[in-house]
Amino acid sequence: MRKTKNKISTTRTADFFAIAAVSMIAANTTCDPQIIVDNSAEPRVNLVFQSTPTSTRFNDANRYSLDKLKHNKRVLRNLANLKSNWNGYGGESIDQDVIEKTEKMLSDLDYQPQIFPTGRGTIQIEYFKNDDNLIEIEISNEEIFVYKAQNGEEFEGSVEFDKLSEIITSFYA
Amino acid sequence: MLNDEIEDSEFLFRGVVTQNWDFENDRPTSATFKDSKGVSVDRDGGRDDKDCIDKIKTVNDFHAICKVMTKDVRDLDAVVFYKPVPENDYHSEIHDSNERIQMKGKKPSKIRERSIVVYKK
Repeated sequence: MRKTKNKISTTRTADFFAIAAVSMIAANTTCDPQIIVDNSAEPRVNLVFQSTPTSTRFNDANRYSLDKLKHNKRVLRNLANLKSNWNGYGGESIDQDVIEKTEKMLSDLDYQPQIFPTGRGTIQIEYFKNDDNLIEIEISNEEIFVYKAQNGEEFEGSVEFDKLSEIITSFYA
Repeated sequence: MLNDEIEDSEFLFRGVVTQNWDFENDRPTSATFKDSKGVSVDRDGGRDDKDCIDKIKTVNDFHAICKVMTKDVRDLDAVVFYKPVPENDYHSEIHDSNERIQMKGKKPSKIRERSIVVYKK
């Protein structure tokens, strides 16, 4: 019985030094470790790392992509050339102000969308994962109108540009 | 002469140009269903898909043609009007409601979702 107690005590002492060693190593990384020691009968150690952004976050193909931004600006320039009835249904050409408004928005967005013209002279930018998870943003001279569907929840309404980035970032969170 | 009332079971056909085709996901964009004067479609009026497709292809060099059932449109609280024109007996329009012409937000998105592509280049 006494031997068993000593064994547990030795194990806990060994664990303490192991924790201390890990803590010293972690202190030299960019992460901020939190060490939680569980004092239950079975000695257990959980290391929780609250990591700061790493390079893997920038691997998303559409995030911070200069290539995508350049591509989208080319698409916008092409949309500026659309003539009346471009869609075979009397589609309206797109006002230069709407083109410029969209171009400015694109430059400020973390994630680059797909861009489409509508028949009423507005521009729609889209983020699409599947039919239940998408964002469609219609840009006109008057407003920025958002329809977002994500995990069974829907939102639609006019938003300010400042809110847009938040809506898109939460979509990819 | 077609009945003024479009039946729930009738399909509504719409041509899609390349600018409104999402090539990444191989689908039309809902921007196809956004128009200031109502979304022009061709009701089937008892024709089969091939006849409807052939008629629409005479109008424009569309990248694709899709169809959506009238009931699916009405279930979204959008309305469908039969509005024949001299060059097209089947011409109809989808409006947001009886009071408002333009759809935006959820309705065009859901119509796109429920539409079936029946022709693609």
